[in-house]
Amino acid sequence: MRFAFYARYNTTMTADDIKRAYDEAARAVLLEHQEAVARILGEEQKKKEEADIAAVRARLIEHLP
Amino acid sequence: MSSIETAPRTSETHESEPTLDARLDALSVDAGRHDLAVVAEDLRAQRVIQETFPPEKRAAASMEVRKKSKETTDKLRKLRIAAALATTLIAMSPQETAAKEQEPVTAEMLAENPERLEELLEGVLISIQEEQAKTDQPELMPLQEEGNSVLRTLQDGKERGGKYTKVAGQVAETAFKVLVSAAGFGVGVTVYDGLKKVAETLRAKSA
Repeated sequence: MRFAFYARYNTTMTADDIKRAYDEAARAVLLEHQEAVARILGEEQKKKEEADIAAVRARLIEHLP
Repeated sequence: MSSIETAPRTSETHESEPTLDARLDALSVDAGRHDLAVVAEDLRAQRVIQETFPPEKRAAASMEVRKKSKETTDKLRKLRIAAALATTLIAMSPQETAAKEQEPVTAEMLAENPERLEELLEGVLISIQEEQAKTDQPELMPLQEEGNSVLRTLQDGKERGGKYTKVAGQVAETAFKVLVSAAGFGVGVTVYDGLKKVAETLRAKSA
């Protein structure tokens, strides 16, 4: 078997390496989650922001001399 | 959501090198933070949906976010199990034990925490399934069967009592043997490679 007995005699992989790999993988998953949520919210949130900006601009124009 | 940085924890019993228990505890603490981050993101998204989405689109968007949160939580759980498994298997290597003057991993030590033991076995089975999906490896079958059997015994005990009952010596011994075999087959290395691959794949996807 390809990996037979490798782990037991492998001295290059340490617990710290595993922890680092775990931290990186978890961070990547969380980032990917954030991006996915942003995509779901994206269109509507953008529309709302544009509507808010348009409303503020309209109010400003109303008050211009 | 901010990225999560984890400060390295030091063991209370070993000044220089954390024990396996301390390392596994640290992974659980990190996992708790990750889960909280997902919950916080979910709450923020739900608020945004209520404030910005037209009423007819709110339910669908809310459901989509919930689904994504669940998917992420499941992924994070698998990562934690994989990290715990790789850490345990590498701690079982004779070199690691001798070089770092750590206490050897024993069946009694694993039996003290049935929940952890169940997750480690689950990790072994997930890894074997993934390996089997890539190439048929009949030599892994006995390990898979034994792992399944001891996992069922652990889970049956839990269901009857409504919580984890103390793991009987024989069950712990069998579970220990499964883990030793998994270490011998190199499951720790494949799991470690898998962890690294997750980060690389996701980084490439978002770049």
